[in-house]
Amino acid sequence: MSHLFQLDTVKYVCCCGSLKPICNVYFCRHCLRLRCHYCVSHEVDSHYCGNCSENMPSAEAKQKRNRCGTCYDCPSCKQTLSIRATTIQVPLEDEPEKLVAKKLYYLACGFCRWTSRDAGLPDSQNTSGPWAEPENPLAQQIIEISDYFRMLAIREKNSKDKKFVQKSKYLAAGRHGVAHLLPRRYPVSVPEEMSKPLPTPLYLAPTEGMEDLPELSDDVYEDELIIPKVTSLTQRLRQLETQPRETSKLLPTHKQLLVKRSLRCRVCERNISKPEYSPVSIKFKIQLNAYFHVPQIRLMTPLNEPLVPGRKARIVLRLANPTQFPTAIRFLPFSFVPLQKDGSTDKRALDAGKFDPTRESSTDHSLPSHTLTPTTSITFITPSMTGGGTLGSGESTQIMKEIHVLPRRSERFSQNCDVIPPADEIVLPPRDETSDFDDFAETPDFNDDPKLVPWRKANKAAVYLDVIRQLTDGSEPPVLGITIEYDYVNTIVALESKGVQEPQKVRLQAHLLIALDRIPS
Amino acid sequence: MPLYEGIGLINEKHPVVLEIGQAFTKAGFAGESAPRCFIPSTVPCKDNPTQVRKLIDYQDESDLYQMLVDFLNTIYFKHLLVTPKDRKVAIVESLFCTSQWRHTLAKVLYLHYEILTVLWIPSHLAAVCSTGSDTALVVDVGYSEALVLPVVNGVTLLSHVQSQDLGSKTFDENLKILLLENCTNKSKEELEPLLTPEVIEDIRLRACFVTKIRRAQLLSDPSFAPNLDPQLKPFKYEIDGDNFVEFEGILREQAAEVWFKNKDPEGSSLPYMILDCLASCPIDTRKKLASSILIAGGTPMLPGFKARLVRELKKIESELGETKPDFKDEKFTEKFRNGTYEFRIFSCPIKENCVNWLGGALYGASEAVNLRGVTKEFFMKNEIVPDWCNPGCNSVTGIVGVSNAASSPFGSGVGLPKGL
Ligand SMILES: [Zn+2]
Ligand SMILES: [Zn+2]
Ligand SMILES: [Zn+2]
Ligand SMILES: [Zn+2]
Repeated sequence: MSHLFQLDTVKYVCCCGSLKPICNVYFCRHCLRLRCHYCVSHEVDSHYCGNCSENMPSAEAKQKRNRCGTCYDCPSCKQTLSIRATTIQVPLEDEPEKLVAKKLYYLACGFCRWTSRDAGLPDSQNTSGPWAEPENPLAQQIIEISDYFRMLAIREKNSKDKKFVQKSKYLAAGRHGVAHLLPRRYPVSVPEEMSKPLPTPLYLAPTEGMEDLPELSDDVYEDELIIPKVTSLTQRLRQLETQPRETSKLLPTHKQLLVKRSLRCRVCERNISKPEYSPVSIKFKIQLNAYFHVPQIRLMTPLNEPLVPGRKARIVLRLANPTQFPTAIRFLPFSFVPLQKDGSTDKRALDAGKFDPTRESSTDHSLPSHTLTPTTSITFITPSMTGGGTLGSGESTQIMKEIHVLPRRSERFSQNCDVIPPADEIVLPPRDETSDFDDFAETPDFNDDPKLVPWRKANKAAVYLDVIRQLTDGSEPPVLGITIEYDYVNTIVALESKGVQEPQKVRLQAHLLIALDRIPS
Repeated sequence: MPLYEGIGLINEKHPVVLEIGQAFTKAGFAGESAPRCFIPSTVPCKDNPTQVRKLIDYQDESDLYQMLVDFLNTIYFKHLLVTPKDRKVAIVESLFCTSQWRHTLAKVLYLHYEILTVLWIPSHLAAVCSTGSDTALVVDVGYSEALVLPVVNGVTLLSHVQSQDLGSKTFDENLKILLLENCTNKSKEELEPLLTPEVIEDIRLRACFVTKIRRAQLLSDPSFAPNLDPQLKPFKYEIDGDNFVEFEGILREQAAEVWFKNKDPEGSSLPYMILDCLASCPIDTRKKLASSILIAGGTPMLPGFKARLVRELKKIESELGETKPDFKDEKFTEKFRNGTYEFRIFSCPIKENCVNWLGGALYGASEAVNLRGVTKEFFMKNEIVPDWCNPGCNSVTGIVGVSNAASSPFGSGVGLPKGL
């Protein structure tokens, strides 16, 4: 995958400002916009054990503290432990003279050779144990402190509730000018509650004086230190309750579960990716990869010599249409505008000047001067309309919403080459699974200008593009910024309105950054 | 209706409790007795995923924002395994974290992870609350500094705080010098590149201890050191498969002396910090505080630490009574002359390195989250997290209540002492 889709060469600019290769971008079919890992909301979908591939319902996972009931980790090296069987001869209950074989089990690590016998655990008659696990000996005391705290907090809550009744009375009378501006949760203290004595704690940690804290014993000074017998930090931190110092006190722990995640678009709150429930399945119920919806662009021939500022060069791009519908692609100058609010209108969104996450490449993001058009235009084309339409009001509310809910990430990049956009559009036929395997498939004739389209096959085509380097510092690697406009057929609308509406054809834009000096492998 | 109750119990979503320290981060759920994970506060490097970057090494706010987003993602989906926006969060934070750090963390939580309510708890108050008491002299030995902070009846006496760079960083720097000097089978040049911070930390943890006060006196003078009886045996340490290093045993007890440089006029010492702090506290609180010392932080978990600390304190105090001439401050001597103190250290229901976190978990399990938590709405509107040091929160009468409330583990009104 990495070389096929040119991970480093062609980057798509997500709505949030992240730069990602096409296989890491999603396309929300409802918003008709690019989304990525950074700007979607992640949710835990299901819990499973990575070792035994067992699913665990969330409620059970919570109860078992996210640990598998059957698998154990080695406390020494964290590999999965295996169960070993051994036979011993035991006298029969009825006839003590007779010996019979009996199976016993213990845990062993195949990697570091730790066994449950090292921890002093007796062999078990069952394969499932039970094996002793680290436990805080003072857990009960912690519960008592916790109960005490809850009690105090409830006291405080009650005192505040009383207070609020009074306050609202005053408010109604309009006596307190500022009081209603204060958040409800920050009232001033109540005198009568203040004078009440605190209840006595249920548990108080004891203190230790000199007599309770003896000095180190002579063994510490006389015995040789054998480092492998003392636990390392990671070993201790895996058993936080006890944090033993001697390796002999390490106990096996249940294996931690893993999760499958689902992704949700923050704007329309619909799923963008939802895995299948089965832990062994690598398929998805929903997977809206941009790879299936947005034209794929690859660099076929990079620059063969360095591009001097102000000079022109010719590159070849390869286009592919992944959708079931034909599309027409038009090349435009790079016109990505990061999400930004107008400043005064809303305090909620962050000021882009103050807040500009992540530095990625060397220079600041420099937008070419001719980009006054809005970031991505979605133009709805009804069957009656031909050509481009005007920006609908639906789109502006969509962008307003994005400004509020999308986390912004203006990754810095340098874009120092511009495209000289060809006048013609390139029409690509829909993807046809069979044509990929048919070398003699008929290539449709689109009356292409051979100076623009030198090659074509099924849903793919190559294009010549002239690029010009901006008159800036020429020492940086050349990066072409380009915006493509393409047809997208929105089948979701038809599905949701139960076929009343025709599939809607819209004109969408995608913004790309192409590193021109990288050799496509 | 037992069934209904059962469902309620399962559906109850305990808040997430997070303590992002300079060196380590602890994360878990409120109401539990130990964190679910205790991991280094690092994120993988963007350019080289085999390398890690520490969160505290951030370059600017946007860099920190990005690192925190990545870091919390790991915590939620690799360790806690819960959906971030479903749960409230309790943050246990150092009293002295920068406002840039605080504000950035708030933005990450409220804006990126869409957390609805976050309770911000100062770590020393959390520590006190894990003892069940409301008065303690908190001795927090962190990564870059050691703090001594008195909390009396739930109120932090902030002006009496003592802070010195006696954290694990200083300890490890000192230990490195000792390791280089006391290696028997490798030259300094060979050893130096092998001693990564992780190796030094591991040696600190596995080999070092805090020695007896009598031996420490001998150790401090190099000419006496060979007379120590018994001498510690040399020990071997395996750095990797090719490098077995052998060290003199003496460094095992020497390293921790960095905390007890009482005689050194330039140096700082933990016992002196504690006594300085006590001396500055109101006279009627001193006795109580001296017998309620609370150790927090992972570095002081070395064997022998508590035993040595109480003895050092007692020794200095008794010497003060005899008015020895070599003490820096006359007033200091004056304050301790009348009356003897009993120094006592809390024995917490959890290991010292989780004390702060446990306090957060106790707060998080109570109504305090709802009463004191700062909501997303509030943050969006005001763009601040109410804070004891933020002047914006202390200007309006009503919000003064916040800073009071934040400084009291038992809440405004209920826990406040009569005098304040
Ligand atoms: Zn994105
Ligand atoms: Zn399992
Ligand atoms: Zn192992
Ligand atoms: Zn959407």
